Amino acid sequence: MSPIAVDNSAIAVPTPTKGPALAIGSLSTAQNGRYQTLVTELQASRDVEKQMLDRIIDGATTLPKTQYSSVHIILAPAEYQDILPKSSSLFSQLFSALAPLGTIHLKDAPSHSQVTTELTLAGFNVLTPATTPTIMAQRPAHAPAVSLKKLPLRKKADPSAKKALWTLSTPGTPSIDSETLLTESDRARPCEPITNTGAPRRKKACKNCSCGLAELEAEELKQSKVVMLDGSESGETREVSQEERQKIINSAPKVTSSCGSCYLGDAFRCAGCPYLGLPAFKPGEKIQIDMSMDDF
Amino acid sequence: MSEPLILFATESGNAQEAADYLSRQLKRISLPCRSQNVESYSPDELIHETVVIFLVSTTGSGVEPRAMTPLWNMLLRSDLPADLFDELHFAVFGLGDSSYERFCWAAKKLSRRLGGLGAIEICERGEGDDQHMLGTDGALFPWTESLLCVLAGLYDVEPPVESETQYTLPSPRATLSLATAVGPSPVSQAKASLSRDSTYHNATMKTNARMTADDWYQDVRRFEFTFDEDIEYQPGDVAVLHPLQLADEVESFLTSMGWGNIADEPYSITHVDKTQSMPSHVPAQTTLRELFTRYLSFTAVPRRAFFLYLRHFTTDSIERDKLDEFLSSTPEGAEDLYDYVYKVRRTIFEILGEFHGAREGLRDRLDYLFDIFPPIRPREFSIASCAGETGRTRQLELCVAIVKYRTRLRQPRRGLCTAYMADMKPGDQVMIGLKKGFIKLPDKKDTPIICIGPGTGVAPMRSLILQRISEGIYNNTLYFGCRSTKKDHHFQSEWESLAKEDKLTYRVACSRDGPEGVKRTYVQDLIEQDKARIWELIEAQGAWVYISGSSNKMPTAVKASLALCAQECGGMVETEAKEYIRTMEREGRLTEECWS
Repeated sequence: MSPIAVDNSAIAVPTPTKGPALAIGSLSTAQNGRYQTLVTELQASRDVEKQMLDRIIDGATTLPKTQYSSVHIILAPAEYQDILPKSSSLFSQLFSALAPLGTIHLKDAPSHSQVTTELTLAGFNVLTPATTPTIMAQRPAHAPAVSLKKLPLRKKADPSAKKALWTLSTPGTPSIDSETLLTESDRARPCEPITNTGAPRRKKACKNCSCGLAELEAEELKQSKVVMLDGSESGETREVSQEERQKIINSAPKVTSSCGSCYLGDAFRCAGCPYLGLPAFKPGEKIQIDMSMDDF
Repeated sequence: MSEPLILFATESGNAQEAADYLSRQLKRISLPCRSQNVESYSPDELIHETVVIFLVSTTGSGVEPRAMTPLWNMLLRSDLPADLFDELHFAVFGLGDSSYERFCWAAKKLSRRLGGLGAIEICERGEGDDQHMLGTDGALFPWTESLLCVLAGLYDVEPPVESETQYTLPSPRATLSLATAVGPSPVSQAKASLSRDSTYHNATMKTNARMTADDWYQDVRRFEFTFDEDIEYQPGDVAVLHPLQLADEVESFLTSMGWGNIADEPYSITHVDKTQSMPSHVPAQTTLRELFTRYLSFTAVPRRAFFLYLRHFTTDSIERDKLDEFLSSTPEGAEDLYDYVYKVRRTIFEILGEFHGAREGLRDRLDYLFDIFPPIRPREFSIASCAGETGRTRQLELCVAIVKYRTRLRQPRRGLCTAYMADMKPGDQVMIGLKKGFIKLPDKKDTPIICIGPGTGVAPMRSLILQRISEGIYNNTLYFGCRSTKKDHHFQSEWESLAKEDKLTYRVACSRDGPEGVKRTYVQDLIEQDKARIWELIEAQGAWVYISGSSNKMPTAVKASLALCAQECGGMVETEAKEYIRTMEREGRLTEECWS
């Protein structure tokens, strides 16, 4: 299963996707130039395919499946009202044209909750409140297995017959072999356990660095201010220059921290912190790193 | 009833905690729901449900949790019509561990069977994997987001507007108030609460002895308990122990939280939100000291949901930013949380030591204790002794490896229950529960048995073998594996003398005793050496086979070597041999009891 989650926060846009986009306009937004502006904006960062709304609704064109990273619709407010009756089939077409986690953007859509409801019923995950000028929704990583309708208010059949079938058990009824229920893919284990994303992280420069990272770090260090932790005074931190730092260190060796976070604990320490693995401590407290810790 | 039902089937409590999380998230779409353990759910009711969300864990051998068996057997009946459940909407989330061969099989089978009976699967099946960076939570929270949207559509309610982290703090599941009348002492209340449960018995520790050599890295103990009344158990049954947190640790935790001066005040506890679970056996009145000694764990490695609560309670903006990073749905968020918590097995106590703002915020919110701190879970151990011919006894033995290991953190990690047990002295009292295990004796008394139990996996094997010998049945075979015959050869003298008396065929593989550079010998290698005898026992005499021990490569390797016996001595081709082993498992002639 993919560890990628659906970012569902109200304002935040999911990781910008630069895959192919589909831009859908109408006669009126093409005439007033708003459609062209949208297409130009999008083209700056990705491939854009253009479509007119009528052609999709009339079935004059068939959209490819799981093709686009995003779909952008720009219509006049009145046109949004007009398409509402047909929006169910429109949205499900667009849903299947989007790649999983792809997004749909409806520009200048009226604050009409019916649009968002229709999006939800088509399987989208609505990301923006209904009142913003652009409605944004996302195709979830897990697609609903069926297209869903609202729950019927009442069950259709008389439940007693089914109840009898379910609860009355004839002694000696054979059971099915539950293993036959599984498909080949059910039997397979996930190929590789997901233990790490393997995303590159910034490393510290090696001792004999030749790639330039050491110089970069040296430059950063020169420019940086230093925070001294000083428990003997007020327990507060203060910024000093590198020069002053050396003086202070030479006169009274204390715990120093170039980021001011070391004493807060692992959660706030950087990847190269020498205190990693130790509990949080008080500023100024003398910390000893025991290198011979193995008691095996 | 049309509100959704969350039905969970759990072995160790993971699916229950997942159900708690899910029903809290349903509040984000203001959808009332019910949440129930399948243990207390009448299967008859299923036909009346409209929407059911199943959370199903998987036992090691791919079987459903024991509490789910009645419902599952009903579903498997072959005479059910294919449209029986065509008005039921359902979703399944499985909890499993992909290091086991039958990953999430119980959940997979359930979703297939319900589909086959016409039920409508409203959301693609989710599968939580313990091997994921965030454990089963890694898949649970994105799955929950998808499910919420689907449910919002189904019930025609507004889809979730606020994200998981921004959603207002849910109301607490319980209330705590200072008790007006002083009741019986909290310790006696705790004991009374457990002894009302008839599966628990008061036990006295008789022996606490180290089985491995003193200079050996692993500390394995033999514990012996006596009872003042007769107890009954069968070979393969398990003993359930409720560990206590050590007193000085509780004291230092309570002090650090600023609860030192109220630690012994009596509080009345009321369970308010019934969609959220409470630790089992919590009495109605108790003290904070008792709560953190017996019921709530501050030394557990917390779930992701713990950080959602911290985020609500912290008074510090730096902490809040850090928590937002941890909880973000990006891969980086998961990785940061993994590095900080799961990779190093960091405990709640240690985390609260760094999140001072959260600790401050928590201080006066005692009503949220049951939401923030997970329950101390009882631990199960395979019984290593037998009740003898009468089936009734007043003694019980366990063979337990004391859990202690290191991570990058300076403090070594310890298992709560085994640390508690290792610390017990002869004469100390403890409540022990008895529970059915997966292993059972053959239906016919004189059927031969082949037991493969390396390491502490030998515990249930000892129970089986001693029981049979007490009944005068001697066609028993044991394959034991250890590293060194001088260091960790459990029950060595006992096995060797039984072998001498012809009551047992005993084979032992000591993997590290050979010279350096020579291929190590494991139990599966011995089985291959003995293939002719093994095949004769299995095929001609219908022997039952038991595998117990670590869940890593051992069970798979042992089954492969059994299949090899079928190939080389039974003249089968590879696929036939594999199918033969599968059939043995299906018929209950081959049982695994393995743990990680």
